[in-house]
Formats: sequence, structure tokens, C-alpha cells
Amino acid sequence: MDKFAIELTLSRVKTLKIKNFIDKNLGTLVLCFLLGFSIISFIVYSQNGLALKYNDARSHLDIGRRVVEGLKPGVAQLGSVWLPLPHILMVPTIWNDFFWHSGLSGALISMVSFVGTGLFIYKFLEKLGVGILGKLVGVGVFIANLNILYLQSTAMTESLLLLTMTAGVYYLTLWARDEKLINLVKSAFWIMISTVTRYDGWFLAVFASVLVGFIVIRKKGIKAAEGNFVFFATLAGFGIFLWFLWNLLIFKDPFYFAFGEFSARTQQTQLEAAGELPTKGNLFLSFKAYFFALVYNTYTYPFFVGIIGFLALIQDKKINWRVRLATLALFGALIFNVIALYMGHSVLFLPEIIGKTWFNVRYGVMLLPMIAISFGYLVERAKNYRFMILGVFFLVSFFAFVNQDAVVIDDAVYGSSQKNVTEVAGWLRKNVLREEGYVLISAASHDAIIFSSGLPMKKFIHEGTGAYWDYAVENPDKWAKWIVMRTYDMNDLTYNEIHDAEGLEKYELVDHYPFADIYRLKSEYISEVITKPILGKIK
Amino acid sequence: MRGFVKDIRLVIFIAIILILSVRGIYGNPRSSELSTNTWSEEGPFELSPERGRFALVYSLIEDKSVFFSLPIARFAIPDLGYSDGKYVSLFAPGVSFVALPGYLIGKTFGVSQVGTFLVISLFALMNAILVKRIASYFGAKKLAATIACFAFLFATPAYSYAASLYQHHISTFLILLSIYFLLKKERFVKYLVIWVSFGISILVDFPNFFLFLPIIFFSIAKVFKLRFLDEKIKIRVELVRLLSVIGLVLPFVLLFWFNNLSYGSPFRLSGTVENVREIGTTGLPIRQEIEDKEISETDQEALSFFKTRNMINGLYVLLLSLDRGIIYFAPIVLFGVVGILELNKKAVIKSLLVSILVLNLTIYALWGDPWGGWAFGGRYLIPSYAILSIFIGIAVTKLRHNFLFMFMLFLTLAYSVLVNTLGTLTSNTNPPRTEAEHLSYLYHKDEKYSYDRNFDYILNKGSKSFIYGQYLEDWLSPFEFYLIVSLSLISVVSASITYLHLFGQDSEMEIVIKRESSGKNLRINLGIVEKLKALPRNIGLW
Repeated sequence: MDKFAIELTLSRVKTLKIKNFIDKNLGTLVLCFLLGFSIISFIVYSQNGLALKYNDARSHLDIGRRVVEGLKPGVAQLGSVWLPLPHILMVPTIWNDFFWHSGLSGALISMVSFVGTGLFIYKFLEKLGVGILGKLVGVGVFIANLNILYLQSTAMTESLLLLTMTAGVYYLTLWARDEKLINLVKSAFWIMISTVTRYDGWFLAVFASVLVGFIVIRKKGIKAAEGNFVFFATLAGFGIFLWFLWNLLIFKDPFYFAFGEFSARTQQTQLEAAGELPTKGNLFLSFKAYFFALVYNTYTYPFFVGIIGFLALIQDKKINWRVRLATLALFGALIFNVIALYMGHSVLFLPEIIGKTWFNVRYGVMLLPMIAISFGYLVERAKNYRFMILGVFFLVSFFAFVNQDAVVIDDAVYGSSQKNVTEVAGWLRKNVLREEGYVLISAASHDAIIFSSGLPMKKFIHEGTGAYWDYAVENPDKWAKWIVMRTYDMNDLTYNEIHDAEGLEKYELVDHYPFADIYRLKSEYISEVITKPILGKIK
Repeated sequence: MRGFVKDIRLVIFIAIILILSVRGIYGNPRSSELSTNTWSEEGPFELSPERGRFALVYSLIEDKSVFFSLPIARFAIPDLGYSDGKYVSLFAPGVSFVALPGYLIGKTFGVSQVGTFLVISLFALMNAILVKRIASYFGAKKLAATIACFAFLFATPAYSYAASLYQHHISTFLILLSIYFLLKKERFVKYLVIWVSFGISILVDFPNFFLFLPIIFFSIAKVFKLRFLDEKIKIRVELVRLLSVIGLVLPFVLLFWFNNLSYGSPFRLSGTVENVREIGTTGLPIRQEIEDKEISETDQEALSFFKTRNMINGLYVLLLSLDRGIIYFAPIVLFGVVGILELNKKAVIKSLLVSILVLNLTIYALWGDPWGGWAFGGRYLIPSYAILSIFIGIAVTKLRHNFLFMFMLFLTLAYSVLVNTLGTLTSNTNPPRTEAEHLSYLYHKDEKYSYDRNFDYILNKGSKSFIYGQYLEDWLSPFEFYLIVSLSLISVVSASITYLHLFGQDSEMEIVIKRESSGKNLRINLGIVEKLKALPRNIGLW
């Protein structure tokens, strides 16, 4: 039997050279790989029309655009609904119509964040002493997920949050290991950035500050812990302070973002009144809802392997206990989301679990970096089982890709996160684009229509246009040639303001659509309507 | 074969129990009789998997054709295909091919159906012996390995599917046989058997392709040998092992021939053929518009049946649910997990077995129907029951002197035997929970879905055992028959456990020489144990 064999000989020096080359350039190769996946995914989702399916994605783009263009452009347009960083980052590109309408302005931030998160996962594993295979697997688990590939192709804010949180925790573990103050500052900086991206970052700031205190208290005592805690919390919480300040200066109330008329809380109150906030006050249901969001977003198998990997990491005595404690910060998103659901500050719908449709299921993607890191770590540790772990991962990922299994896309296409405004936006594009005059519309209710119409922002009088809005809701017939609103719906700010206005009789209903009705000023009154931005000139 | 001779008493005992348990009715049924209640719902062909496979056996022997005559087609519904104006089987043909000799032998004794079913019992018997032998390879004591083989065959749903015409025991046999051969010396025939088994397994059931992947990768890895010398790395490619791939040829030729005959193309799989659910009085299939639309999408459906979103529910159904979960139907196999943790040698083969286990669980958790339709217990996990049972042998060997462990083992084994004997002697027709609840709502009647349904069956309807129905019905009530079978199994198992606990002395001792990062195992005779005292202090003893 031994006679029938071929023998190949390789020079050990050459193979060592190849290995050294790979070791040296692996980071660059991973970067190229991440970039490639990022660009291809954006092209795919842009071409198949899915990239802007999220109603929120269109709103984010509109907010960025209003800062540079519209009847009243300026930083005040950043508003109070969402935290400002994603919109601020859009400003350098959003002025360009292509960047705005293709969604690239927002997607670019998500894409860079995706690449950055992948690199931090790689660096994280490197610092944990994980070898080439483990590092590649960790990054692979992060990439081989259609949910994250979709989110990095659209103008949503989750990608940016993942980058800032992962970077923050990465530097926190570095500080825990070498106690260099600069790493603590870097960690606080990234966490501060996350606090102005999404509210998840706020919890991370608190959680990480507590961990910093905990880590120091064991080694250096209470006084040093106090000092480190205050130092870290001040830096990490600076973004939160700025947000309060912003709300105070612009909206005259530091808590406007929390209790204002456009706040998430107001929406949640309405949902609660309609009996659609079952997680509020129900810890088990909150945990169950988020657990299902997690497993659906991570394809279940990586989730469970990641949890096992994380338990192995926490018990690994070879890793400094301070580092192990610091990695707990990766779980911040889990705790935040469960608490938010329990307190009724957040809403999550998953068919057959809660509600009849999808809504906000993308929140489950928040733990993906933790899962990727733990997965890569386990592959390093479980030497005898690494091929089994990888084999099953490939199989599961194969089925996920073949079946285009992405709950985040389902939410965007079939769930409550979508809003098909093609008809009403199409009517506006066809009938308004070439005519003079303004459209009175509520941006809070109909940002998707504003975006999808393809009209310039300065065509719209909305609640962010100051005096234009105030005058227009008083005398719509003097200011708006068209009105877009949901008739009889008091939640639509336009209808709420003008339903008893005398001028409303001068309009005729031209079309009725699922999300809005379109009214046009009767021809006999058109000559009296203002069609130029006169308020700026008056000032 | 030597294994069978060596374990002759065990083989005889298992064979007796299986013969007592196999389902059936006396007679050689004609095609017109098969669809009657006696043979179908109330008889041995209670569900479509048995019917579909028996239909092909019957058609091949009696009609000399792969195409079904009208009565056989009606019998095979709902798993009936329609291709080029002819009715064909929708199942992979392997089980029917393997069962042909059983039908022919049974027919000469006037029991064609029983003969067919006994082929599966024979595979179940071989599986039990393979479990025992593989457990022994891992160091299980003889009696512990026997307990392992009993645990697999009589304390899991594998028992229920050893008495009927399903694919699971043949699939499990091919997997275990391949593992068994992997443990043998390096010979061409070893690899040939593995590739032939792989080919046949696909012929038996298409998802076996996935279950075999670890074995196949392991065999392929054996083709290459790496040697690290001072300045060179030598890669040796063993051509003979590579050549063993020809073992795939025969099973694939058989599959292509069958596909060509049945569906008009060697590469057309049964899953892509039009499914007929009803036949009209004219003998033609009754089609509905919606169904026609679905037919064109069959190709896509084949892959879309595996969805990651099914996985969490699939894991729940297979592991924890009252209608199919391991925890209710085969809790004994959980002792296998202890064995996996206890075994600290033969790491590569151990990881291979664990890989098959994990793949089996993953594939059927991804599958849209983890319940396996109407069924008794989690039938898709039968290969996993076998593998976990191997590790039960290890756990029992390692912990045989631990009273609490052995007592818990006995209680769990007794419970598992009682549950699974109940299923074997009655029926596999347990609906999934959701279906049962729907039926309860529709008919205002409590539809049970766990093994309590089988308990009602044995009390009210009787037993489907051939031996009971033919020879014992006048002497024993079905419940008495159930007690005799299950208690005889429990007696043997409890005697083995007791003996092993009380008298299972060490004839040899295992020492683990500990280094910083790894351990090395040695087995030594107790006769030299005295000499161990002279060993240096840094060597730990167990």
C-alpha cells in the first residue's frame, strides 16, 4: 500500500518566509477583504433597490440634507429625535444630490464603520493571543452575516454604533492589561462618540465606568477607584452633557429629546395605549424578545458557539482577570436592550413572539462583535474541535446566504420599518418638480415621502422651517400650493395644525394614498400663493 | 461477522426482543388490499414513509416496474410522484432496494410485509453490536459497552423505528460501519468501505450527505501525510487511499439508473418531481391551480427548507419539547455527554464522533419539519442516539463505582425503556403539538401528542406487534405483553448495572502522565501497580 504514493518536498525556509509574510501582512489582507465585502454589498443592495427600504434610513438622509439645504438650513436642523453624530458626519457629502438620493452619504459612514469594526475584532483577538485562524474566523463570523452586510450598505446608525462600542471596549481591555492612561482616554473617547450616535452608548458609558471603578478598586483601593471612575465617566459622558446642552439651547428644555413631542417616548406611549408594548413591565418577555432578535440576527449557531467561547474566555486563567472583567463591557448592548424593553423605552416586534410583523429586529445585531470575538477565541482554544466548529459554521452560513436569510431585510421590506410611499412620492415628482410653489408637509410624519419624491428640500415647508411653517399653518393658501397629510389623523402635525384653518377650503383633494392624501390649491387661488423664499429677504 | 459470533448471546437476546416487537400482519397482501384500513391506518403501514417505501418494494417485485400501478399509487399517497404520465416514488430508493430480499424471503413464508420490516430490525441489531464494539474501542468495559448498546436500541426512539420500514437504522448503520472501519488498520478496503457507505447513504436518504461530511473529510485528510524534517516539509499523497473513491461508483450508478427510469433523467432528484396528493376516479392526478404554481418552485424549495431561522425552534423541538424532545423520549443519552467529558484520550476520533452529533442536530434543527411529520420521538436524531450511547459506555466504565451515578443511570434507563417500548409496541402516529392542538380545536376532542398517546393506545387499541397479534393475543392483554417486554429489558439492564457496580473491579489501571499542556495515557496491568510507588513525584495517578 505504501508503494503507491507521491511525495512532495517543500523547503522549510520558504514556508517560513510565506508564514512570516502572512503574519506581517495579515492585517492589510483583512482590511482589503473587509473593503471588498463592503463595496460589493453596497453595490448589490443599491442595485436591487433594498438599500433605502428603511423608512429611518431616508429620514436620516433628509436630516443631514436639511442642515445644508432647504428653506431654513443650519445646524438646528439636526433636531432632537435622533442623536446628531451620524447626521453631522453626512454633512461633507450630503449637499451632493447623488450622495443624498443614492443614500451613499449615509452608507459611506456605515461602510467605514463596518470595515473599522472588522479591524477592531481582528485586533481584539490579536491582543487575546489568538492565532491566524482564530483571528480570520472572528472577522469571518462578523462578515458572513447578511444582516450586518445590509446595515453597512444603508444609511442606518447601527454600523457606526458597533464601531464606536467595539473600539471603546477594545481600548478598555488594553488599559485593563497595561494600565496605560492613554488607553483609558482612547476608550472614553470612543464611548463618548457612541453616546452621540445612539442611546445604547449611554448605557455603555455607565457600564464601562462602573467596570473601570471595579477593576481599580481591587488593585489600588477605593481612592484610586474613585479617581479613575470620575476621570473616565467625565470623558465618556461628555457627549451626553453636550446633548443635554444642545436640547436646552435649541429647544429650551434639556430633556426635550426624552419627553418632547417627537421623542421615542411619545411614540411608545401611543403604542402602549394601543396595547402594543407588551414588554413593558415584563422582564421575561423583554429578555425573550431580545433573545430571539439576537438568534435571528446571528443565525443561532454562531450565537451559541459565541456564548460558549465567551464563557471559556472568562474562565481562562492565562488571561489577566482585569482584561476578562473589561470584556464584560461587550455585553452592554444586551443589558441595555433588555432594560429598555422592560421599561417601555424601546419596542421590538417579532412575528410569533411579539406582534404580527417585524419591527426593530435589527437591535439584535448589536452583540455581533462580541459573538465574533468569542467565536474566534473558541476556535483558538478548542483545538480538537475547531474543524467541527468551522464546518458547521460554513454549513449554516451557506444556507443563510443561499436562502437570503436576513431578518433585518425582512423588517425593511415587509415589517413595520418599511413605508412604501412610491405612489405618493411618484405623484409629487411628476406634478411638482417643474412647477413653482411649496409643499406643506410634516417631516416627522412623512420624511420618507420627502426623500422619495426626489424634489429639492427647499420645495418643502415643514415643521423645521421656522416662520415658513408658522405662517403656512396659519394661512396655508398663501404659502403652500400643495398639502400632503393624513386627513383626520391628529398625529400628522400638518393636519393637526390646519384642520380648522379657513384656507383649507381652497384646496381640492387630488389623490388619496395609503400613507397620505395630496391636496392642491384650486386654480382660482394660485395667483395669490407665494412661490419664492421671501422670508430670508425680509430678514 | 466475528463480532456477531463473539456476542452471540447478546445477539440472540436482542433478536428475540426485536422479533417480538416488529410490527405486522400475517399474509402476503395484494395491491388492492394495501389501502384498506387493516393494512394502512390500523395496520403496519400507518404513515406515508412506510407506505411509500413498501410501495416501491412491492412494485419492483410484483409488477417488475419502478412505476406504480393505480392501487399502489393510491396506497403511496401523499408521498407520490407523477412523471411523464406515470406514478413514481418520491423517496430515495435505497431503503426499498435493501428491503427486497426481506420481502422475497417473507413471501415464501406468507409474511411478505413482516419479512420486509425485519430487514430494518436486522440493521438495528447490527447497529447495537457496532455501538458496543466502538464503545469497547474507546475503553468501555464489556458490560458497560453492553449497557451502551441496550441504551441505544431499547431506551431511545431507535427502538420504535427498528420495528417498521424507515431509513434511519440503515443510515445509522452506514455511519457506524464507517466509523468502525476508520478505527481499523490502514488498508485500501477500509477506505473503500467508507466511500461505498457514503454512496449508499445518499441512496438511502439525501440528508445523509451532510452527516457523512466529517467522515469524508477525515478520510480525505488521511490521503495526505505531513512530515516536518529539519529543513524540509514532506507531503506524501497516498494514491491507494485516493483511489478508494471508486467506491462511490456503484451506488451512484444505481441512483442514476433509478432516476433515469423513474424521472426520465439520471440527475433529476425525486424532490423535484410533481407531488400528487389525490387521484381522481379516472386514475389521473387531481391538480389544483395553486399547487401547479408551487410545482414550478420545487427546485428552489429543496434548499429553502433549511433555514437558520428554523434553528431555535428546531433545537427546542428536538431537545426539549414534549412531543419530540430528547429530554422526554430518551433522557438516557444525556449520560453520553458525561462520557464525552470523561474521555480524555483518542481525541481525534472523539472529535469526529462529536462532529457527526453536532451536524445531525444542526441539520435537522435547520430543517423546516424537525418533528418528522407524525412520529414517535425525534426520529431524525437516531444517529446521534447511537453516538451518545457509545459515550454512555465510557461514562459507565469511568463512574461505575459511583453509586449515585449508577443509580441515576438505572432510573433513567428504566424510564427510557418504558417509554420507548410503549412506542414500539403501539404506533408512531403522534402528531406535532401544534397539529394536535388544531385537531383538538376542530373536533372538540383531546388529542394527545406525547407518549401518553401511546399509553392510551395500548390500553384501548392494543399492540401492532406481529408476534402478539398472531400468537399471543388470546393469552395476554396488550398491557401485559408490554410489561413483559419492557420488564425483561429492564431486568437485564439492571442486572448489568448492579454487577458492574458491585463486581466491576479494575483488571487494569489507567494512568495519565501529566505535562504542562497535554496528557498522555497508558494502560497498565494492576499486577505492576506496586511498582508505581517508585515513580517520581511529579507523575499524577488516577
